[in-house]
Amino acid sequence: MKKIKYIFLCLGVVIMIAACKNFLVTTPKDGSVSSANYWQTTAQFDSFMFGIYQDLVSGVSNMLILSELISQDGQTSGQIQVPLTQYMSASRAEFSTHWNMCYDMIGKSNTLLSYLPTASIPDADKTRLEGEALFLRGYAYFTVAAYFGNAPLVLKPYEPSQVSLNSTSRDSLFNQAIADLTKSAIEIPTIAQWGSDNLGRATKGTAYAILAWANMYIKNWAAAEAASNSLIALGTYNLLPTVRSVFSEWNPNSIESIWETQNQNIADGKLTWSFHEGGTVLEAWTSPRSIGYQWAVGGGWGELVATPKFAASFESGDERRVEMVKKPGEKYKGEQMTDTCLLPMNVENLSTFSTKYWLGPGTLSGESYYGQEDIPLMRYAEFLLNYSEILFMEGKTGPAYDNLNKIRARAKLAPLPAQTDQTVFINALQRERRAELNFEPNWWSHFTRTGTAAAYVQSMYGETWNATWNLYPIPQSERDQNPHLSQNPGY
Amino acid sequence: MKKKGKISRFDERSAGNLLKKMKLLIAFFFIGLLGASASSYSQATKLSLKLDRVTVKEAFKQIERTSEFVFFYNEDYVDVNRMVSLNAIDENVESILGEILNGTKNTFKIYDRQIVILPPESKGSSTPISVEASAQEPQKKELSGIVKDGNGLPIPGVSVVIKGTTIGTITDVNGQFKLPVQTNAKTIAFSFVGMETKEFAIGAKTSFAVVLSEQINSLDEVVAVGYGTIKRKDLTGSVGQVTSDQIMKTEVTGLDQALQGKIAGVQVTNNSGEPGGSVSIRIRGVGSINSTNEPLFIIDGIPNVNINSINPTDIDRIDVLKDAAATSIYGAKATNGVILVTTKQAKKGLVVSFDGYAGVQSMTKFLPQLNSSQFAQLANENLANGGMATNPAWTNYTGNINTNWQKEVTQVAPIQNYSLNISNGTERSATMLSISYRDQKGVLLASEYQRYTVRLNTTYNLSEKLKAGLTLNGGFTNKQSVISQSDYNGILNNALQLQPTSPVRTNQTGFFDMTSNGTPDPSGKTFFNQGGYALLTTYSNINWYPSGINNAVYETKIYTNSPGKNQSILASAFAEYEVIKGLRIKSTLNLTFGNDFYTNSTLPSPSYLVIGTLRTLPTYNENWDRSNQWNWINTISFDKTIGNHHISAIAGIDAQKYYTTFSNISTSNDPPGIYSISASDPNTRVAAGYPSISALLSQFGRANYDFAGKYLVSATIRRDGSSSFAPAKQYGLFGSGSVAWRISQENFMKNIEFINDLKIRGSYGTVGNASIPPFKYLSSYSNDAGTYFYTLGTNKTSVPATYQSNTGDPNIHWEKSIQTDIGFDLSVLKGKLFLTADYYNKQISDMLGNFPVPAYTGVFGSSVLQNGFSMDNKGLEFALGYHEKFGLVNFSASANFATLQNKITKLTNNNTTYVAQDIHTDNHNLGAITETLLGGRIGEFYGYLTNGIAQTAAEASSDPTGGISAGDRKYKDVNKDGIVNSSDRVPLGNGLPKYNFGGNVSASYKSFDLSVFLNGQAGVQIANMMTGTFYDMRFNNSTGIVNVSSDLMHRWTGPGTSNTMSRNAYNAPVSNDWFSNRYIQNGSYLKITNLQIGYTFNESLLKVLGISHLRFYVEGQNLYTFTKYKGWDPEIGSPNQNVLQTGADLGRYPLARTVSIGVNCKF
Repeated sequence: MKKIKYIFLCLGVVIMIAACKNFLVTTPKDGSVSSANYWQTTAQFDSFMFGIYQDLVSGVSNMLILSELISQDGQTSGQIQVPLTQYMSASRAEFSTHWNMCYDMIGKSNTLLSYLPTASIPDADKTRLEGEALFLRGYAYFTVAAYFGNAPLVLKPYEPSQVSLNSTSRDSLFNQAIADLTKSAIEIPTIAQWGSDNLGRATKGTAYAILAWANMYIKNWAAAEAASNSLIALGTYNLLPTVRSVFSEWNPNSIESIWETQNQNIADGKLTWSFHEGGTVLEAWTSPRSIGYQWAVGGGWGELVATPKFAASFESGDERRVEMVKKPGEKYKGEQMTDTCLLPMNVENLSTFSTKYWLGPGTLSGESYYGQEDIPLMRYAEFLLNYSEILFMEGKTGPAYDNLNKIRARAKLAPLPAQTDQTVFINALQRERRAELNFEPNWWSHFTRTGTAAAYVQSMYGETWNATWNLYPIPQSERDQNPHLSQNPGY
Repeated sequence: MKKKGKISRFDERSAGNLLKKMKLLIAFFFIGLLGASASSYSQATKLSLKLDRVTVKEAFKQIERTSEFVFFYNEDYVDVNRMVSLNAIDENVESILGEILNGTKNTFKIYDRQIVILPPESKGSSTPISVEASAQEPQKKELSGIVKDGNGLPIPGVSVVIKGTTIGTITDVNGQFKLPVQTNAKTIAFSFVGMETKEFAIGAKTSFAVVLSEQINSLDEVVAVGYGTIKRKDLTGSVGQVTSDQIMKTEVTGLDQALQGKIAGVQVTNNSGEPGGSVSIRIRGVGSINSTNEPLFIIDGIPNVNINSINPTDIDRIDVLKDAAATSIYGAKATNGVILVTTKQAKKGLVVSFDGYAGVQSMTKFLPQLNSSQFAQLANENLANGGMATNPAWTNYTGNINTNWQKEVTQVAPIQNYSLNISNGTERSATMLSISYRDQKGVLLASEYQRYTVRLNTTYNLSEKLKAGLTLNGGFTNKQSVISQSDYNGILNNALQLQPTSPVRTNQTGFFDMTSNGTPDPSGKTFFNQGGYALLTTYSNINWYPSGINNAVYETKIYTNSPGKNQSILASAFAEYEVIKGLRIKSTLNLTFGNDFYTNSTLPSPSYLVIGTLRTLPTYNENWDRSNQWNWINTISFDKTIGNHHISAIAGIDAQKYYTTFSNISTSNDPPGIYSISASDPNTRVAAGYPSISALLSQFGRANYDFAGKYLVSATIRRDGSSSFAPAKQYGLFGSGSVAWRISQENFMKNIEFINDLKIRGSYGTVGNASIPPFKYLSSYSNDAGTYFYTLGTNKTSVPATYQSNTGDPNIHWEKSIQTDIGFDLSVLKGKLFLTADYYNKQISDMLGNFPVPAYTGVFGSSVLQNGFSMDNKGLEFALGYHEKFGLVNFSASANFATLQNKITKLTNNNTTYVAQDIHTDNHNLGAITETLLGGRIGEFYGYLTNGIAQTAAEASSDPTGGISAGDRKYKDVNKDGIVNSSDRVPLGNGLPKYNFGGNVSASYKSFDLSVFLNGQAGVQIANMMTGTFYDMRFNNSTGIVNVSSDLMHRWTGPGTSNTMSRNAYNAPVSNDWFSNRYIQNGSYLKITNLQIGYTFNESLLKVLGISHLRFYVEGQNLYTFTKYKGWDPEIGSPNQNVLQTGADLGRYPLARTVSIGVNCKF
């Protein structure tokens, strides 16, 4: 009996001690990837980079819708237009969505850049990845500065002290953007260097185009011209011959495209309805509401349509009006429609419609609200208009008008005679920008940048423009989190 | 064994006179039989007594007070007034009695805890005899019978007395007795230590079959305290208990529901009334935001058992550990309290029992809606007021179609439940086998639930020192759910909004319209006949007929293809060895397996109907959520009494590994009507899986010490190691200390006759909450199971994208709570009335929160999981109980009441608010949120304050609520900045009740018994989210007209017509439906949760059938709710188990009213 007693006791003690060793698992066994095992290969860096691009895919529609509504050209379905005095509110979610998109890109770039120096990957890959990440961060900072003004400058991955940063001046943000873009332009590959498999990534040309644009904000026209000349020197880009061909599912990444979102090809069966879904809602949003599945993705949502005044504002004979904008009673046959759609006369309280993204019902109509066509982030026509402005500001009036007239010529409009009067030039340029780049993400920013928004809104819609609105408000949610952030004056 | 009640019979304070009159002679026999157990207590019990010249009677009383012994003696034969002196230290009772009786001719016998002082002439006869003390009167008849216990086993030694006389006897070894009595004898009484005394009128009866049940005496109840048990009187912590008697009187689905309204400070809420719906238990309030708020369930010592696999009938008792003294033995898992479930074990003998019931369930309430003619009139009014074309089908509506969609989607549903229990106990083994079956249809069409359980509990006494046992439990459940609380998609919300002028079913083939006289018009295309159901088409006028809402009855047919099946199996084995007396080692191995299999499938959605085809593809997905666990517990325990010092201690190690695998396959393009992976289109299959392992390693110890049962001290310590945290943060130490003082045992209290027992308790300790997601200390990267892509290249090829899905914080650790508890237990009026009161203060710190960080940090989701959030829960708890016998009526009542004060005391990063939680998502009341503010309560409803209706255009245009017209709702400009916007929102109320209460009344009279259970809450608000959808005819602020509350008859129609209901117009601004105090309603209620009336058949009649016990009953559940709440049911809980949504009524599945009949039967 005594023996059994001790056997039991010893057994118990042994079990207790043995059980302690290595019992607690310390790494995830579910195959999930953590900071412990990521950042090992170039492919992993690339994959993380694609996530930054994906932010743009999901964010660009909001960016576009926001500026379209603020410009008053766009209106939502059957709703009373929210007056700008109400619309321009720091609590409006669209502003924080835009802000978040930029800073998500910045945060991801910072994370990637922080792991790059110590990674065991080829140096050539490191240089290329740094160039690309710096481009994306530079673009995002440029966008923050352009739209929001003073804002926080974050150059490292998250650490707790960042929650109480002060705002950095708009100029410093532009300088950061320019520094990133300048370095990027050296390191990032050209289209040819990327190769066809990487078509759609930012290129040296993209870096130059954004760099030129950023310099326009700080009125460093010489630097802007230099960047533009570098882009032209690449010899990669040209205008497509017709207006319609610029917007087509069948013509992505054309020679006119400097940078565009790479929207997902839904036909590959990867539609998951997750938040990062490729594709754009714009196809459903810009088509007439409830027009039917045979004519538009989702049957047409009509959430972002144009005013009748928008359609009426084109110069007569402008092919862009005929090809790209439709009014009730007009016919339209998009890329995917099997028949010609007659726009009903009673649609949406006399709206008009941009057809840049409304191309038809799509291959899986009824199933998907997403279109697959890319959204331009920068195209050669837009670049030429910027270049035109830069040249004009450099006193090169003739070349400035030459570039402006290239765009008009494609739209079957007569060339404008060169004039040294800045107001005349800017008015002509802005009108051209709106006619060419409407329902694209960037055109409205040229109105707020150049201070022409007030006159435009007044003359076109009889509304009073408050200079406050040249900058978006710093999202209230951010200032709730960090009271150190300054709000833009007037909000 | 209970003694208090029995003492009173022989105690002169209460029964002195009676005793003198009762010349009861007790004869004793079967020493051999009783002797076996007699020695155990008397030998184990050592007493210390110091008596200085007291009477023998006082000496006996002293022994009774310091031990569990009870004295039986007849004062005629024992000189109780003789003075004795004694100084015994740590002696056994035999030697003490020897001293007390020294010099007399009395001898004594000890039967377990009963000490009988024998008269001098008695020799302890070994044959049963009936003796009557006074034989002066002639006997005319002889009574006979048998006495058994609740399990049908005969009880020897029961005293049988003719009330008011000295005539009596005791039962023999077979529980039988014979007693000659006078013909005029009126009442016969049966009593036995630890049993309820029973009295019967004699009348003409001569044969008695008596069942004595165990006496209710809460002090000697055994309470489970984690890795062991303790007597209630020795308890130093706060523990509530529910016993099988109470469980058997409520027809609950799950054991969690059995706790509802029964224990102070334990709030039990049905989150959904669907069959098999989830239940939330909050012990002393909410303990966490991001990890679980549910208490730790331990079933027979086994953690992580699926409680739905346990048949409530198998449960013997449930102990709820509330304060740190009680819970800290479970360390890191115990913040939300611990619920210890003990299942029934076999007792001696063979007993077969059957319990069953069957009944019907029905809706308790339908919300008042517009009928079809009211609807038609107001619908066209709405369109006309909004400048829209009116619908001719609604102009002068004369049709007889008046569909009450609420009634159409609900039904009177059957419920049935059966369980069979076979229990057999012998000297060497005890086995209990139970099987059960439950089948329940829901009051909402298509919902149903089935459960099958099997349980086996066995224990073997392998030798005097070695015990081993095995438990097996299997539970299978099948559940069919319908969407019930998802915005307008929920079946019930859908039903509220469907037009009463639309038919449910139709004979009209193909497309058709419904005309204003209620007949189908085949030239129209508004509806389509889909298998006999009238479905809305996309051809319908979208301003009149909403898309996205359709025939709810048809939709219930769609969901019949989405069953969920759960299988849970557990096996547990233990061996216990007594090394030396009082020192035991025990090893237990628990294995559990669970498989949750559920599918979702949709038929092609009918709302996209074009030219007779259903446009969306059918989808199907299968999910397996498998878990298995092994758990090994080794303990060593020690129990020793030295004189007045009693020490017990336990130490052990508990190791647990928990594996889960979640797999999911989703497909689309199934052939119609066939739902399986194999039938689906292989190109559409997407598979994903998420395995995980977690481990918990714990060492624990507890020591209890008491002096003379008067001063009690207890200390607990537990060290937990968890695999969830960074190596430096894996281990945590938890512990508690508690003291109690049984004042009633003090000499100065002993003379206060009124008080039977009074104990003051105090405890302090720390526990944790470890159920937080593992590996959050690492940053993790995700590609969303391969679905996160970018597209590149000339061929637009998908390339994998990755993002950082979690920003790791290496300091992540468990949530902690520090709890203080002060309480007392009072028992008065001979134990008939007891009161337990507690004050608690639970300070929860390091709560895990997804703390918002500014978006500019680039952190995914703009939040970082951190331990940085503190909250206090404090309150008072009272439990009051009373039982009394009024003649033949046995009456008992209990009530409990608890208060809860919740306060957020700290948020990280100097935040003053935690992340706002959306509580609704439809367009009507966008911005319906709860806010958790520093200094406030968790999850406050947060919105605007209404300010009446703008009566005139002038009033509307000058109001700070922008964009409104006459007849629209105004809101208060709280910050007085001239405009109403989101900064004018304020806390509006809270879904956490400040007061919870419950009660029970039970009574029995002869063969009838009655019991009523009540449950309620007060100081609570409900956000009735249906308010938005329920009062606005424009569907979801989109297009189309929906039905609304009949209250709309009182809408604003011009100046002065209404200041509460806004105008009925299609173009009315969204602001009319902003989330405001208009949505907030008083959520207080008192429910009659349960009422049961039973009838027990006379046992002698049943004998012939071989039945020992037979009872029939009628039961009503959820019979009536006293409330001012206007929705279906004020018992809301937290949708999606999200504590920040507590009290938001999204149109949840209401609890049904059930009426049933049942039977309890024993063989």
